[in-house]
Amino acid sequence: MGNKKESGSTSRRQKSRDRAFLLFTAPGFLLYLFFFITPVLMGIYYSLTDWDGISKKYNIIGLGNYVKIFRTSQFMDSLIFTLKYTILLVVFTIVLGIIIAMLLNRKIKGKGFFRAIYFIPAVLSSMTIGLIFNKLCYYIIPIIGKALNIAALSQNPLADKKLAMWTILFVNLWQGLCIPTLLFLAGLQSVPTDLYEGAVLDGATSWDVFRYITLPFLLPVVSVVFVLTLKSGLMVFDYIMAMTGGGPGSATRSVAMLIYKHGFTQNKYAFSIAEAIVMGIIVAAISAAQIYFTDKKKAV
Amino acid sequence: MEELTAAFCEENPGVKIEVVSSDDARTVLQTRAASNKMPDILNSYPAEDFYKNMFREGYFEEITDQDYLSKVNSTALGMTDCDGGYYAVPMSLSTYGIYANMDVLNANGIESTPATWDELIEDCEILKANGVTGFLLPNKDIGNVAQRFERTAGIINNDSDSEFQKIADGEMEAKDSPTLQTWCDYNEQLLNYTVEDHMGMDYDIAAAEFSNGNAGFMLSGTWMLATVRQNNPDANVELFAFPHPRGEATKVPVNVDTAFSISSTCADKEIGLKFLEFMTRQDIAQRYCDVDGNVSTIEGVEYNIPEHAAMKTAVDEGNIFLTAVNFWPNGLREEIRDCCQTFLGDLDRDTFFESAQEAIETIYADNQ
Amino acid sequence: MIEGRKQNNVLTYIILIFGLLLIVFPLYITIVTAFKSNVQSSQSFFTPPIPIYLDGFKEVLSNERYWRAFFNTVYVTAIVLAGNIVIMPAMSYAVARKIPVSKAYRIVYYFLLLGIFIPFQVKMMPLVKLLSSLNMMNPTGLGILCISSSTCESVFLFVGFMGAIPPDMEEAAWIDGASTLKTYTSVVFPLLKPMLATVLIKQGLWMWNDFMLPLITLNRGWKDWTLTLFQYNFQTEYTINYSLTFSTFLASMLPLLIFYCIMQKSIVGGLTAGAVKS
Repeated sequence: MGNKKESGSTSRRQKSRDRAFLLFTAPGFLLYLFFFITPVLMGIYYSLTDWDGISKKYNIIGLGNYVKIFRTSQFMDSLIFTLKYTILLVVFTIVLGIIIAMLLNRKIKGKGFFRAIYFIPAVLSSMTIGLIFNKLCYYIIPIIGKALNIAALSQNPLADKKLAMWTILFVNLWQGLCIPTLLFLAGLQSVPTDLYEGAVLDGATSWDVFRYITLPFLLPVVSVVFVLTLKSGLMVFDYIMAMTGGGPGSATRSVAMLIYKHGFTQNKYAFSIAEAIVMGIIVAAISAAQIYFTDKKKAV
Repeated sequence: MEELTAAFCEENPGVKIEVVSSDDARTVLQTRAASNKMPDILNSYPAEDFYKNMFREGYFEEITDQDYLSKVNSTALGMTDCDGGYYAVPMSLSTYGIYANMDVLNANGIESTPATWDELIEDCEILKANGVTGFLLPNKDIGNVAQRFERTAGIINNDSDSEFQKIADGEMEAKDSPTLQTWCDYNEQLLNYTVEDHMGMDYDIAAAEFSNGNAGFMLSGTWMLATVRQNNPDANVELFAFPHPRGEATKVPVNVDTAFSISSTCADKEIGLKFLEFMTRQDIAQRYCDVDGNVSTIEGVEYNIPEHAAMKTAVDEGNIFLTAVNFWPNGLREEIRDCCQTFLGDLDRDTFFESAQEAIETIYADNQ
Repeated sequence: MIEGRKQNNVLTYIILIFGLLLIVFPLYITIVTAFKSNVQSSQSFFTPPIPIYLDGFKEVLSNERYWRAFFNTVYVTAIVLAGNIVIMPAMSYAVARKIPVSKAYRIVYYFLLLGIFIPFQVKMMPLVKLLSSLNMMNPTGLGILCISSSTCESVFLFVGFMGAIPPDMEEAAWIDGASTLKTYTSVVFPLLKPMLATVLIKQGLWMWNDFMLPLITLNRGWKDWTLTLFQYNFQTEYTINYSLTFSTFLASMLPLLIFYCIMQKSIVGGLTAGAVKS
């Protein structure tokens, strides 16, 4: 067979492969364009108007809504709260997730039982969890706080400006840790056991083992967990809605809560979309930076 | 409500009505309006600006020429007037005041509900001396804080809107506003008689505590009676007017609580109108009133709720005013509630006036 | 050495049991409250339900709306899962293999990633308009919409996972003359299975428990309700009837809990086995 013929068939096959890939991509992408991007574009359009969400007529006012966002400190306050909350959520999720995963990975009796129980919070709805914990915070925490003589916990922690955020964070972690923990657990299975054995023979400390053997294998999982947790932290709404409504005062008002308040309780609909878009841009910038750095790492 | 709709459907074979309730009526309504999928019949709050705007936009049928409107109490009907037309049949008025748990008061030697502010404080002192909580203030519940501010600011000054307009226009500063000052004063006073963990208390918890006889008084409106009965069927409570904290004459804030409107996308308007007619019949309105607990606006309906006798008298004597939310610009209640809650937690007046000033300026500017 | 190990194990148990209590306690409260009368609950929240009060739970379970909501939820979740099985892995496979060579696919991928971070509120109202103009304000419409909402995350997870799959086997199939579709179905898809399990569990849980999207698209009549909507509507009606409220909590989490108990081994196993030896 001639060389020419073969390369001809290869390029034909290459073409058919490209066509197949196109067919693989098209349905999902079109669906995404239609049900995701179209409404987003419509939203951007509304953000340039003075629409209140109800009336049938509205005017285009350009960037007026965007200018108004920074008229008071509300948006910045919410943004700072949200960023602070997100950083804490991400750090705790990754650190605690790895620790719990390593505990669940030890060769102990009842391993399967623990793993099963530790996943249960993930199957509950976050609204329900928020409502249940809201009750617990009033009835139970003060009893514990008084018994242990901790002044800060002798009243409902959600009533305290500083503690409220930590309480919400705790509840969020209570549920939000489940899936990351399992992902880390999966990552731990990929560490070849002979590496551990070798390290122990070489007299490495447990920290060294973790630092130089376990962690590198977990890194891909860490970056996945990072992005997913980042998203849920930045959009946090359900827990806050169910537990504090943004209070006390505005101490736990996330950007999503602020947008909800402006758009649906005060009929400043177009304005609230403008806030959402600014938020989106900030978040996109953060994640672009993150992707850029991880890609760079991969390349090295 | 479901019973009544069932009765209506029995009378009109082939008609089916589904009742859908919603905590978040506005969000749902807003998205439904956007999609032109309004419910056929709707419980509106026709006195509020939000709904009046919807009436003007043509989302609802005008029912000005319907005969049964004559069966409605004219004061109540007047509250729903929108540019000279009617778009809703008001069925009941909610009234707001202070609930007293009579069992608690009697057990501490107090025979009747207080008529003046000083008497109220006196009673609270007696309760406090006996180790009983005087007042329940569920300050964690931001919606409840907002409502309490709105209703009582209205009691302090029936025309609070003009006062806030002055603040927005720069003719007055928030810290000089008599209404805001009085609001701060009375709350500071009442906080002496409440539970330690008031900032951690939600409305439903407070209602349960109150029903079970763990406190003497609680601020609320006629809608709370159903909750009280559910928590403790034997509770003996009475609703009385909130006395003016500065000792001036006091009026009872009312709001149109149930009002039925027909949306303009309703498939069969005849049936819709029939339903409104049905609901205004004396026997049906009576049945509704007995369950609802609010003061009925339909002629001939007897008010069989002894717990609310004082409110019925106020309505009959016209000693009422339409509550402030119907005059305030859209969103003021939701804006100012944050600083109210903060104040209840730390009693820091300077910060309160500062943020109230900002809230009022922002909202009035947005609604010009 | 063995001593130290034993001590370590004891410590592990202590921590794990502490976590266990933390997880179980709120569930205990939920169950206990569901089976106490309102009067019992308002007296004390912690005591076990003696005498046991079944009326609240019975009332929820005997409500035809509950069952209807249950089936709607199963239906909508099934649509989303089907979409995630059929569309997402194939799409991710194409994208992952094309990223290094094609700029267009790279743009598509970053375009999809961007979607993860667009706040829901931006598109909420337009979405409702769009759906209603297409007459899709029903469970089927919601299902299709949610497939597209899950696109970003699913593709992100799959593409990340594809990177860890060595292309050797695929190349072997290719050299053997297998078509792209055949390569995908017989080689790539089976390799993706562990990640598929993760994606399905994640998206399935999200859909099952989602509240906002059903609220704005389906809250028109109880025939369209999902379990979260059922719970929500029920709760507004009986504001503070603890027994009923917690019974609805319990009833709406029960199907998933039962499903999880039965499938627990394969869910946790599927997720943890999801490792690729590289």
